[in-house]
Formats: sequence, C-alpha cells, structure tokens
Amino acid sequence: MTWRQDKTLWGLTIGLAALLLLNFVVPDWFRSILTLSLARGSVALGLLVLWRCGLISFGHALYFGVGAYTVGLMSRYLGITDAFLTIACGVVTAGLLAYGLGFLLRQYRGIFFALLNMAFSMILYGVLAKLEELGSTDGISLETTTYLWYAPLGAENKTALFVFAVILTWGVAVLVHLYLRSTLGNMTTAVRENEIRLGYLGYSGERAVHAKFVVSGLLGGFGGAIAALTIGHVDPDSMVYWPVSGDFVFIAILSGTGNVTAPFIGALIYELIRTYAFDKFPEIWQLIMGGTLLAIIMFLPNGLWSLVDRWRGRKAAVATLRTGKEEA
Amino acid sequence: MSAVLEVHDLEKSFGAVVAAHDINVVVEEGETIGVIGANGAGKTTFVNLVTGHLPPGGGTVEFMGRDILGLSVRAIARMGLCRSFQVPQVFLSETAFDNLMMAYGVAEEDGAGLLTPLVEEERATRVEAHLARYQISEYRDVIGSALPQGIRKLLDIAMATVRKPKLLMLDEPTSGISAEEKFAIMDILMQALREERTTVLFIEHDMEIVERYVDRVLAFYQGEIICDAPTAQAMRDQGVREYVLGRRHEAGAEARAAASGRSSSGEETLAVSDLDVSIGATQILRGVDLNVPSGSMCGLIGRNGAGKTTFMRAVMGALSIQRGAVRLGDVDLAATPAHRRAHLGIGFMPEDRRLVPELTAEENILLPVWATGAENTRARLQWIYGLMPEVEEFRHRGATSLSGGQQKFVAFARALMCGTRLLLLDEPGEGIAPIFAQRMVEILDDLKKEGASVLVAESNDVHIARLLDRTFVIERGSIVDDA
Repeated sequence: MTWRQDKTLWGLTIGLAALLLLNFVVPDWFRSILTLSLARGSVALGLLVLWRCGLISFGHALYFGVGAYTVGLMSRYLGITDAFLTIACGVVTAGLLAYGLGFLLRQYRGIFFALLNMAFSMILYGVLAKLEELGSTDGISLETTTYLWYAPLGAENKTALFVFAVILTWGVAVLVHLYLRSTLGNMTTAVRENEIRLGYLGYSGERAVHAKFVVSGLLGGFGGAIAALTIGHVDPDSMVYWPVSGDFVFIAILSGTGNVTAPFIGALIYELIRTYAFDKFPEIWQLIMGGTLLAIIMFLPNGLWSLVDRWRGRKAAVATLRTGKEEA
Repeated sequence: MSAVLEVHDLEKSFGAVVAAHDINVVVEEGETIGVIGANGAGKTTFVNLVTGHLPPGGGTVEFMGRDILGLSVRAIARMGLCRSFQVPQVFLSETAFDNLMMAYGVAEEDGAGLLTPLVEEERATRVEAHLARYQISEYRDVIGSALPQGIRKLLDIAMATVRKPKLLMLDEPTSGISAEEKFAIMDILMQALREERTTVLFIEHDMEIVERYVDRVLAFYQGEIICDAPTAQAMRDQGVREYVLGRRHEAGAEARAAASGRSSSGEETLAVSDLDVSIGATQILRGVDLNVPSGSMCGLIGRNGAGKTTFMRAVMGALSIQRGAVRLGDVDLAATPAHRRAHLGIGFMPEDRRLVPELTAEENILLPVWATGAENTRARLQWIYGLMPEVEEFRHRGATSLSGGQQKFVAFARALMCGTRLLLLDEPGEGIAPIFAQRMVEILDDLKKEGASVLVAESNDVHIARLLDRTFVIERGSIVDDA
C-alpha cells in the first residue's frame, strides 16, 4: 500500500488540520480537555498495541507516571522547562523502564501479565507517595513551559502547548500506524494463538511481546509527559494510583482496537462524559461511568471503532449490490 | 551426497520412561525417510529433540556439519531445519493467505524492519505462488479454523517450507485425512517438496504411504531404533513385523474380544512390580507388587488413605509413577500416554463416579466409545444392559436426576464399555444403599462367570470375599498380605 492510498494516514492528517483550526474557536477549558485526551489517548494506543496480541496491562499508569514525573523532576531540580527536551526524556525513561521490566513480563500471559504490571505500578506509587524529595502526596508543581527560545506566558502558553501536542501526537500516531503494518507489528494473532508455530517459523513469541511492551511503554511515557505539561502539576494519586490504569483500560475498551485513531476519539469521549457527569451529577458520576462501560461491553463489544467497520461493511455491501445489478 | 543431519547416541527419558535411547541416524541430502513405530515408540520425541523443542538427555546432533544441540527452536528453524505438526498448527483466526504472509514476513525480515510494511505486492506474489504450489489457492481467503482437515494440514506444511528448509520433518502428514484423500494430498505434497529440493523425514502410521513414497525406513520401538533399512527390506524385517506391523493384528484381536466381552488370553492381565508413586512431596505407594491373572477377580483391600485410589489412578495414568513397572499383557503401560490406555481395554470406575452432568445415563456409558472408537458398540451395550437391566430402565434420564447409587451403576457400566481386558473398580459398594450393594455383588458374580479380569478396591471384603480369587491387603502404600 502506498502512502497516498492509506486511509488512516489521511484520517490522521485531516484530524491534525481540524484540531489546529479548532484552536482558534474553542474556549480554554475545552482546549485543555482536548490536550488531555491526546495524552490519555496515547497511553490507550499503547494498550492497543498489546491488546491486539491478547495482552492487557492493569498498570500502565506506571509509564504514564514515569513520563510525567520525569518532566516534573527536571523542572524542579534542573530548572529545565523546554518542552522538546523534557518530553524526550520522559519518553526515553519510560521506554527504558519498559525494556528492563519486559525481560520479566514477557514470560507471562493473561491475568498474570495484567496483574504484574499493576504490582509494578503500585511500587512506584508507594515510592512517590513516601519520598519527600519526590514531592510526596502533594506532588510537584512545574515551572512555565518553554519551547526552545520561545517562552510564552498565560493563555498564549496554553495555546502553544496545544499546537505543540497536536503536532507531536500526529507524528507518534503515524509512527505507530507504520509499525502496526510491519511484520513485527502484524505479529498479533501469531502471538495470541500459537507461539509454538511462531517459534518454528523462526521468531520468538517472547521477543515479539517484549518489543510490543517497549512500544507501549514509550507511548505511556509520551502521554504522561504531555499530561504533566497540560496540568502543570504532577502527583501520585491522579497519575500513578491504580484507578488511573483502570481509566486507560476503560478508554481502550471504549475505543476498540480497529485503528490507531480510535484511542484518541475514545479518550475525548471519555473526558467529555467524565467532565459532564462530574459537573452535573456529582453524587452519581461514578454510576454514569460504570453504566457507560457496561453499555459499551453489551452493545459494542469491539468498541466505538466497530461502528466505522460496520459502516464500511454496509458501504461495501451496497457497492457489490450495485455492481451486481449492473452486471445483471 | 553429503550428510544433512547426523545424530549420535541421543538419549531422553521422562521420569522412568525412556523415550529415546541410543539413537544413531545419518540423513543424506535428497533422501525421503519414513519413521514408523507404534504409539509411544518415541517418534515425535525424536523430532522434538532434533528441532530443539525438547532438551536431550545426552548425545550429539549435527545439522549441515554444525552442532545444534541446545540451540533454540527458532535458531534451528533459521538454519533450515523445519517441521510440521501432527495436529496442524496454523493461526486459526487468519486466512490461509495471511498465515503464509506471516511466515514469509518472519522468514524474509527476521522481524527487523520496524516500519516497513508486512504486506507488499512482491511478497504477495510469492505467497500466491506458494499457495498454488500446494494447490490450496482456492482456500486463499478461508480462515484457518474453517479449512478442511486435509487443507489445513497442507497449509501447515506449506508454512514450514517457507524458509526453503534443507531438511523438513513432517509429523504424520496423513493422520486425520480420509483414506480417499490421502494419496492425492501426498502427491501434491511430495511434488511440491521435490520442486523445492527438500530432504524429507516423515512420521507415518500408514504403511501404504510409507511403501509408496519413502526410500528408507527408521522403525522405532520403545525409544530405540530397531531397524534402519531401505523400505522393502525394512518391511520384511523380523523386528518390524513383530513390533510395528504386528500391532494391526493385535488391534483386530482386541476388537473381537470386545464383541464377546472376554479378555484375550495371557497369563497376567495386569502386572505391577515395585511401584512408587508420590503426590507432590508425599510418597503414597511404596514398592507395590500386584498381579491380576487373566480371568480372575482380585481384591485390593485397605482402609481409607491406604493407597487404593492412588494405585488405580497410577495404572490409568492420571498420576505419574516415580519407579516400577506397570504392564497390561505385553504392553508397557508406563510408556503409554494416559489417553491411549483406555484404548487398550482397561475400564476404570472412579470412586466418585464422575459422570458428565449434561448427558443422559446412556450417553455417559457410550462416552468412552466416542474416544476409543471401539467397534460393536451396540452388542456391547446390550450385553451390559443384560448384566444390569436396571440401568436400561433409566438410560434416557439425565445424569443429575439419578440417585447416587444409580450414578454408581452408570459409572460401572461406563467402565464395562471399554474395559474389555481389565476392570478397575474403585469402591463399587461405597456410599450406596444396602440393596444396591447387594445388586453390585450379584453383578460382580455374573462378571466373574463371564471370565472378566477384575480388580476391586474396597475398605473391607465382607461382601465380596467369596467372589475373590486373590486378595491384596494394602496398608500405608504397601501390600502387606497376598492370599
């Protein structure tokens, strides 16, 4: 498939353009919801990479948290506020951590894999909450973000961050999309269904899982770094605690695994539902979230993206019907 | 010609079972070799050892002049030693095309190109050509789980040949394929492999296939190679006739015995010597010696926890044995996988009945036949109903609606269904009403008159003492009295 024929690449690019235009019309609060959606969507994209080969992690807040805290600590101890440098460091740190833990985790599948991830994330939570040097439960507040030599203030900074995050996320999504088309990226059913056969074809299932795990760790770190810059503050309870990992799984279920754009759409819908539920029905907002999850599992078990597949399927069916008529 | 594979002094054992002993094989380039032998003779183990799936206990394996002992499956596959599987291992939820595409992707890139696409036009052309060579193009877009067995088998082999292996090992390429299809499929296969100039070694039970396609035969028996010769010569070999081809004859005799309900003649039906069995770290059986002579009814008497159930489960293969010998007639049970043991004509009635709740009484009784595929099912079932008319009355009731005693009878009948040579009854009289217990004794009496070989475990022998030819008293895992 050439670049021009790839609908997903077109979709991502149109999304990029649309978001950049939206920047001029949306209010500040909505812009921050959009930026957070990109951050959480990136983590959910990391889960998608694992999910396609039958693995789920209940602890991806670990990489999200490592990405966020790398940005926070660089700001506090080194005085580095440059977005390019801090995000790059956040991504690399999370990736290195995933690479290291991957040697252990790649030996596990199913619920063991899921819960081991959660265990590691709770270790980080414990360390962050206890150590005064790392901000304890209060967390760390970030200095104002700079972009190379450009150092905007106030509302201008928010706008700058949004544009910056949109462009970076576009790049990340394109890379992940290309990765998923590659041989290693396609090694999903192979890992899920038959690692013995994969071994006899000449590739190790464990190595494939390890590679996917590192990719998903990098994405987790990226999401965390963006979230830290957006919120301007990092703390263990809203970034590393286990319900945060649950949120990512929620988004992944809501989105479905059909396409790299799905997690971003899912994350936006998730943010909107949560914001409104929390605002309008503060007593029962958790009930609304739970109800939404239940409804998705019952009526759209393959997530929101299955709607797109269904629509395409109908279009294809109509097309065959037409050509059939013409032939007749 | 040069040697592709050289194996010397290969050894492997699983606990007490020797799966490979003193295996020496040299495979020359361009040969087609057939591996034959009864079930459990060590054929698949040989393939598993050579391809790196199992670590050998000793010996050397050289492939293309390089020592490959201890290398991983994938490293060996990359060197050009590939295999297919007895049960086809394809990716069931992907199409035939995608299955092969993945095989090509792995073979051509080693998964290194992170951002170069798997599916590209040139590779797709190669995949199409490969499908055509194996004549499965029409199944291109059918997912693995929907493929007919023979096609799935061909796809499995096609995937194994993507790397253009120097040596290909096929595990029973025609098993599960109907007799009408087998030659057609083998013709396709052998032609494709000849085009690819592959040296082939395949495991096969079907002697027609072996005689037609194979240059040289390796015959396995109990983990050893008993014959390595050109096909025609091997077929005349005394050992091969006795230990490999003879099996067919014996199976026929078993089927005839099944129809009459009598055991085949032989001195000892069950012969156990020096048996040790542990569950976890606890040793349960210690040096048990026990023989059930053919046509006799023996008792295994001991209180709860003495090791009666453990003994029976060990004989059936539900527990692995640490030491000792277990033989049924001339078959080494220790070397026979658990699921093959019922085929040999052993019926086991577990103490706790273990019926399938969703099935009726009769379906439960017929269950072992579905697995063993025994012949003359109807006649055997009628014979059982003759022994136990009460079971015939409730044969259509669901298992859960039966009383405990009735379930016991169903479990008994189920054991009789496949227990043509030996019956192992674990506490048939336990936990049932006296009237049922009395009936159980009458049925055992009838069985004894029929000449069945039976071993009954009970905690005391008051009811059945008069029936028993021989009594083994078991205490704390050892036989203390034998009378």
